[in-house]
Amino acid sequence: MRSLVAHIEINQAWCKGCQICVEICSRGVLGYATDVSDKGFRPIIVEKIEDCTGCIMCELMCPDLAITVEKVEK
Amino acid sequence: MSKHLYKYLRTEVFPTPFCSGCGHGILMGAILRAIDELGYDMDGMLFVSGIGCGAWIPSPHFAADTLHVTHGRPVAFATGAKLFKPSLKVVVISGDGDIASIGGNHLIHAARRDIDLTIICANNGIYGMTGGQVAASTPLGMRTSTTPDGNRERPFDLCKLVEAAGGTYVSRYSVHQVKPLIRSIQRGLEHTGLSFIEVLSPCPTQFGRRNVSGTAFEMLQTLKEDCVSRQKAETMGSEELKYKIVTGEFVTS
Ligand SMILES: Cc1ncc(C[n+]2csc(CCOP(=O)(O)OP(=O)(O)O)c2C)c(N)n1
Ligand code: SF4
Ligand code: SF4
Ligand SMILES: [Mg+2]
Repeated sequence: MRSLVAHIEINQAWCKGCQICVEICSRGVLGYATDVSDKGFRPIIVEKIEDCTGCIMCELMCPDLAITVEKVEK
Repeated sequence: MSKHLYKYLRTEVFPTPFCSGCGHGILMGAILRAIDELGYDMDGMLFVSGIGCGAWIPSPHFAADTLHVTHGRPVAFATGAKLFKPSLKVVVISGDGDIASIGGNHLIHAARRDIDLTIICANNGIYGMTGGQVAASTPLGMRTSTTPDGNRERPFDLCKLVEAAGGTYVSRYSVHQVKPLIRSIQRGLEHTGLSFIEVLSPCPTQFGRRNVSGTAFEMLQTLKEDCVSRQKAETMGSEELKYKIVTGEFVTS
């Protein structure tokens, strides 16, 4: 397995499960939690961090400032 | 790095009141990234908004001075604040209904005077907050709660309006063009004189579900198909351009 390019942190309390990040990611890195949050949303979870390129498109397009992509220092 | 933007926020009021997938949230992030990259101190800035969902972008979210004023009047209040304290960086952020329908008169006169303001208009083509009524910026044929058979009135081309009235930085981008949008917001903030940035910002709840789709991603896809750059538009005929939205910088003087 190649080494990780980035870490992703999701602020689950701010995420409204809008799907934009899941759909925009060409690598299928993100998915949905099985549980519903106390606000009634299914927040996003990181499913395949090993496929993440660190392009930060999910972060730039998140309407809730809920995604932080951090490049792993080489 | 969204978390690096949290220093510009009143985090205690989050999550935002916007519907899931609302374009106004993407625009909020783009504005903060532009400010962060320019290295501005929010203490030297004033954000002015009126009434509507778009007006909630700066207030109460930004950890800065914010004026949340009556519907349609943010440009008028911003003009007063700028005259009172010219050293302030004054930024209006509000909706299309607020800035260009009820507030349209203030907009054209601010442009005519070329006042040193940055006006960011979150255009979702509708009055989102009040239930999805038709606006002066609703595209032809679109269904709204007050035009159930489709809008028969031509919308304003907001960029042409501001250009004709005398604005000296004028651009239009969609939130899906997030990187050029951030750059354009930076140029607008750096510009001396009236800058106007029209931002196409999908409202899945009131506009999308009656027209395109109720999902945010599908609305973004549709915008992507509908937008053409100014450079590309110059090579296209008027028939081809009829249902297209031209994006880019229109005035940079
Ligand atoms: C004087 C006045 N007229 C009408 C209203 C009702 N009203 C509140 S928000 C709004 C429209 C907001 O539309 P827009 O600025 O496009 O914001 P959006 O919600 O679409 O982001 C209207 C008509 C009001 N609050 N005050
Ligand atoms: S940074 Fe890019 S590759 Fe990684 S999850 Fe986000 S969109 Fe996908
Ligand atoms: S009604 Fe429309 S503009 Fe208002 S928060 Fe919901 S999606 Fe956004
Ligand atoms: Mg609107």
